[in-house]
Amino acid sequence: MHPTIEEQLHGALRLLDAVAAESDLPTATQELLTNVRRLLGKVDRSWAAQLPFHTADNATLGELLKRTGSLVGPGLAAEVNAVVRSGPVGSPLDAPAVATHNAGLRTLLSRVITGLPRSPEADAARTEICGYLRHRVDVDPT
Amino acid sequence: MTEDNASTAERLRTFLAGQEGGAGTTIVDLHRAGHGRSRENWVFDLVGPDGDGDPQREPLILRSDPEGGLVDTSRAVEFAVLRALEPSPLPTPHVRWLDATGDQLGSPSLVMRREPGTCDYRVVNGDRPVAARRALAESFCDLLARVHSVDWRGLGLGDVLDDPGANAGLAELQHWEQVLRHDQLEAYPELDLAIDWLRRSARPSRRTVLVHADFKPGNILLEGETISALLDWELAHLGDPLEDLGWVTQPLRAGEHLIEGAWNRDDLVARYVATTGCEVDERALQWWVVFSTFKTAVMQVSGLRAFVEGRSDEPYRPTRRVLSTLLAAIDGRSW
Repeated sequence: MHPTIEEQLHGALRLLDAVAAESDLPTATQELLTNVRRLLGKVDRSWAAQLPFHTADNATLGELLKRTGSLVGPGLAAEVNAVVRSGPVGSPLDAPAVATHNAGLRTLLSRVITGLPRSPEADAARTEICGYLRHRVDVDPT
Repeated sequence: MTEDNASTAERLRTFLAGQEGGAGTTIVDLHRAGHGRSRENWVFDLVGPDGDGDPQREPLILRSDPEGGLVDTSRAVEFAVLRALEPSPLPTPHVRWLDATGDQLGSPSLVMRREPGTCDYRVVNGDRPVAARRALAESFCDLLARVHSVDWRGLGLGDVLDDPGANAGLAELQHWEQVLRHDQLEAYPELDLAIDWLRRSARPSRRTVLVHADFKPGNILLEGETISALLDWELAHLGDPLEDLGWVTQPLRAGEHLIEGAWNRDDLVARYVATTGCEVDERALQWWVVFSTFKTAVMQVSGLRAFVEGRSDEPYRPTRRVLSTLLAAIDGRSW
């Protein structure tokens, strides 16, 4: 159980702080340490939340794609249905696979956005997509 | 001297020996000037005898393309723009030499005079009294108006830069979309939605001016309260003056350009209008504000790619703040 991932990350950050506290470090080295610290801090804050976030987002995004994909055309709608139905490859606890599936769904969303026609229905879809994306940006822990 | 310094010094010495006015000179106090976000800068003095035998000392700066930067621009174009601007009343740095291909200096580079003054990107919200800060903010606004009033045709800038005419907005959008497509490692529906809105909402430009395209206090040198130089012309192009105005009034840049309670966005626009005598179409300006946020996000995408590929040590990424600001700016507007 120990060291947990958090304990290892916190330990790494503590060791970095010890190095950064040395007063005679060149400025370039200090900048590098700051960047390493930012990266580790980001991982520390996000790693545990990543899988539940992607799992929930896959479900929400899948439904959004099914509603909006048909406005672009039957080809894309069929592709959306196939990808959403297939889901992530492997276990639902396989974090990289769930993240890869999320990236695939986001690619489809980009294609939907790019292909939406000029129509009141399409504009309503744009508004819905915008609302979805704003929420996603707000809650994305990664 | 570090290995890095010694290598740069040797390349520079060899390069200068073959340049007009560079032969017989000595490089003094060469050192790297921080890590520019898009350029690698080295400062040094060049010492050489003048006609009477007295040594002359010229402060210079070497700007080179790094392996991975936020923007990919041409040193040859930057050099040509700065040279064309030298007869103008703008406080631009005097360029000296160019290695356009990087054959001699390792990467495309230019050498220019190091102008006097200091740079503080937060100066408008720094330690000065509020009246002094407002005066500085006004002088920056006036400088922007002066950039836009430059006679670019008379200076020959039309030979260096393309004139996009009334399609300035769409031309810039196309350029930065190309950058996005080249550098994106994954899909960004947030940016595709912004592109969709920008493409549908673009308005024709009313006039063509010289656009600095990265106008900010962080690119301005001050001697006391006086502007001594406007730097970083690598993104400069011909286009819509509202592009620069949108860049400085975008919410992401408020901390650099505006003073809460003393100099707000409307003050800045009103002063610009009064100085230039040109009306500002608010809807067109809003388009450029959205575009500026989009451009910032694309720069972050480019920075992310450079980091992932090991060309940059800065862990850039499209941030929540930038994406959130961008989506908020288009949400609720007509499509």
